Amino acid sequence: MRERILLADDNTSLLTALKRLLNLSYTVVSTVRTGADVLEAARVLQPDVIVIDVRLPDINGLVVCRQVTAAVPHARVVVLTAVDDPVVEQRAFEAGAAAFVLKYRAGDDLIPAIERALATRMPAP
Amino acid sequence: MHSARLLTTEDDVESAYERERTRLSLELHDDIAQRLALLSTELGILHQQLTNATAEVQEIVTWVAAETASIGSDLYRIARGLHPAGLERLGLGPAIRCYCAQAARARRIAIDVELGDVPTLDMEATLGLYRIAQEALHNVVKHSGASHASVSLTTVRGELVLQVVDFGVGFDLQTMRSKHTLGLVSMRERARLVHARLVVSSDPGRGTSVEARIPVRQSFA
Repeated sequence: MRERILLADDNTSLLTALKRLLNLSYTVVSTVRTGADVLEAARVLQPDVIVIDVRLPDINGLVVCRQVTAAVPHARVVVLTAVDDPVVEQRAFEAGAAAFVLKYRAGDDLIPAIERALATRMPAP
Repeated sequence: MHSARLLTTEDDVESAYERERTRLSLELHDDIAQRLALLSTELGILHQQLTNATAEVQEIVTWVAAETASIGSDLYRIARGLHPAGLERLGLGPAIRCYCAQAARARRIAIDVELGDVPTLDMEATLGLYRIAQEALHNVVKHSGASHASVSLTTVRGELVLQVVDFGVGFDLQTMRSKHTLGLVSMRERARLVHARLVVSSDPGRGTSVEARIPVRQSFA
């Protein structure tokens, strides 16, 4: 069975392209554009992996990461960002992310990052 | 007819210069970086669907993807140089630590960073101290020949003190002053604009120390 992915980014073009990329290997169960929608969709859909952009319009993606890993602990979070900054990377892992991917490397790095994240997941309740 | 305010003071010119750098940085980050992300993603899709393509086509796609990532990395470095967005997001101490980590990696120099209790300054003072640290580290890397430097940011008797010290070749301060070296002039100007005191000490063969002191309470005024 294909793993189920929830995808969050506020850039519509990128969100559509990421969905097409991930649907080649997984099933994207929903795409959302805000942090509030990530939290709601994650509770309802119980995805295996949640891919979150750091810069969401309503709530910082790292805050969402912390909240969603507490609310849906079996889901693994992959943080996606345009910011090549070791401090942001460190904060992403502190917030509970299982992997960190730079957006301009998404084509090469996102699927391997999701695989790494899946390898650390706990069984669903 | 447009009316325009004449920028008559050096402070206004400097402020306009920073605003323009910020605008360019945001444009690079918000527009071009997003388009590169889209390009990288589409290349990822293409790469996954190339199983029946010739080795040459696969190599070309791999090269284009690697080049896209390389441009993305360069773009971020340029945008960060124009306006260090991390300053607003992280604050002065972590932004300086991050800059030092990247400079150390890129230039193969060991840089120790000591951060004390760093108070929150206003953005103008924060940016001024950050630019002084950048310029001092640039000089360390470019001129000192040092393999080791240290950067500290501490609060001492009501002043925030930035210190950048290297253990390199040093220079004769009088000679350098008489030449009006751009790096020194730039640091002095930055310090003047944020009402900081700048002390540069150096001797040939004994390394260099750059120290900027800014009263903490002033930044809240």
